[in-house]
Amino acid sequence: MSVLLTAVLSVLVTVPAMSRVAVVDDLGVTVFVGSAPRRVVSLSPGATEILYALGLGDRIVAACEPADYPEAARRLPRVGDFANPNFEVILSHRPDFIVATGGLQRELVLKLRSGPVPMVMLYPRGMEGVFGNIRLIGKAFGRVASASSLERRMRDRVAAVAAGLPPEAKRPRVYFEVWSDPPMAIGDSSYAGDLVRLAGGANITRGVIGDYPRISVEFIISADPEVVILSHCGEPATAATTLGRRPGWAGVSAVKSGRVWGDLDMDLLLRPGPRLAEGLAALAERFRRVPAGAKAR
Amino acid sequence: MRGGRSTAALVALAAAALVAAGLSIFMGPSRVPVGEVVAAILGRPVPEGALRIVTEVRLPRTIMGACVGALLATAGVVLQGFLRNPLAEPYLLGVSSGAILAVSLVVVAGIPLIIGGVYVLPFAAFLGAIAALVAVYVLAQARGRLNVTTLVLAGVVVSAFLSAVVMLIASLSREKYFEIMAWLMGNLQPLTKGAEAWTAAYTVAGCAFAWAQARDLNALLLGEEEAASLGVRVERTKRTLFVLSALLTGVAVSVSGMIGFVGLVAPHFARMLLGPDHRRLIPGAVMAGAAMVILADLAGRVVVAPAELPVGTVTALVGGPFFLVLLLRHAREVSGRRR
Repeated sequence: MSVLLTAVLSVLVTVPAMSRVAVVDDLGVTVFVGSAPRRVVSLSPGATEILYALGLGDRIVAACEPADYPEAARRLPRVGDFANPNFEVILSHRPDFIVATGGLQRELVLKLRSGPVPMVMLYPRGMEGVFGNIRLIGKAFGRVASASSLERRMRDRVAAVAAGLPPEAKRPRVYFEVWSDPPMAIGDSSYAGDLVRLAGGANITRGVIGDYPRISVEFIISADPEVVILSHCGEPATAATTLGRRPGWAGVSAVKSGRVWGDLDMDLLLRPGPRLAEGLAALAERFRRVPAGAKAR
Repeated sequence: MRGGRSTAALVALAAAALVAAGLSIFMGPSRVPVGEVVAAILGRPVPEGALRIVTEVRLPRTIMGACVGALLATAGVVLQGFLRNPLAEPYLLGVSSGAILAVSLVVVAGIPLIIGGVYVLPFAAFLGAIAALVAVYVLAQARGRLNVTTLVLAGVVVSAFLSAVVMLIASLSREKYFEIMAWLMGNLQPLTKGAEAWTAAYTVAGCAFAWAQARDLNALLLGEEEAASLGVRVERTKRTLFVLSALLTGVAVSVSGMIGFVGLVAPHFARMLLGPDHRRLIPGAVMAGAAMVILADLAGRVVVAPAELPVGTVTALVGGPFFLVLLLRHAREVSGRRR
């Protein structure tokens, strides 16, 4: 009798489990996803693009700002902006799957985690992490083949960039600014720091602790970057002049040579999605055109 | 004897401020050889990087640190004097928060920072500071007498409320978020070239004016009736000191954001060495405040170099425990008096 009961129970338990997939997200949490989610709320602009790229755009019921690529993403209902998605609005869309991100959304993630809806947190640490995210979404939605073909296409592009890189000593010193006052940089250990490295830039924050460290003006001046990338808004055309007016900056190589780039498409670089390889190639091309050893340290 | 000892203490405080300034010019997250620093200051030829680091980063920042420290310490002395409250301090009383709120409004509204050649932030900050001070004063006086702990409590509440409004403004205006958050933690990097010159001018004028009120402050120490019997026009003096403390705080906050506890630590440290006489206490507190902010900023630049800690974080780490000690001592005195 008890044997029979055990057998019945184990069938009851395993049958639904078989239609579920286990994925491990960037928090290291194993999440069980019911058979191919149909109502997805995406709080990660990168994941929104990945979902579209894998032909899963119609599964998204709502997304957070920014969602502007592809065109169809613009028409998605919103659940607040990237930094402040609204908990109630998310749940009002009755999602069966939520994709969130780390950093600014960390608190919300903890709140969502205790709820009934399966949720993954995607917070890639670099290009490899983005590939991991693509594989995860492919696995969760049963699109493993198209995910690996997307990954392969991106990897080819990254490999082509890597093949064209100059030797380490000839790579331009780069200061990638997140905020100007007080100066906050893209840290070498951060996601975007990985991109700078892959594109052939020598980040001046190498060895500095923190993903987005607040750093000394004095440190920037003495590191003498040959390229300054501005991720915050400003007038691209006058960026070098404006920068030169900051106390102490007039002698910095990037300012003297006018290599203060405020015109890069940050969506291609900072959004961990399918277009990243494109952004990487564009950045590498810009780095390549910087004459090597413009000024010795 | 007393006079001789306190003169020696004044000299020692001045020496400490000078040493702090020296360290702050010779040390930093990048290595500039001592010889190059000296040459840069004397105007002799040095490599461009070293020259700019010394003359455009370290020197202005040291001057800003000295000014802000002097302003906040003097504001602390004045507040403690006319409120007759040892725990009064611009940051704890919410005066700094009022100033910061006004500054944030100006920043978010996109009002140009310089109108007709005049830098507007100090004026905005002053208005915010005085509004907050009035609010705290009225709140604390609701039951007649001005109680020491009620005043601080009112200050903390007003400060928390105003900070929440600042956070609200910061989160609503996404692109100014970091800028406003940086104001909340203190930043001595001058906003524009040459800002340190007029900050120094304001500081000298403000502290000198406070010093000129030293006799009246001394009289107020004895109590308002005694001060009146000594010929002090109490209400007018209190009003002057009220506005003065807001002005000093406003200027400090408008150039450096919120730097807490300096107005508490520096005056009490100076009082320990020099006694309560404001004629000596004010110069002493000015020097102690200057030294404290310069050293806090230096620590913020060097300890986690090349990353940077906001100067307000460092002063709060020192000042928080200091405040608790004062509070406990005050509580003990009060309970002692009751017995």
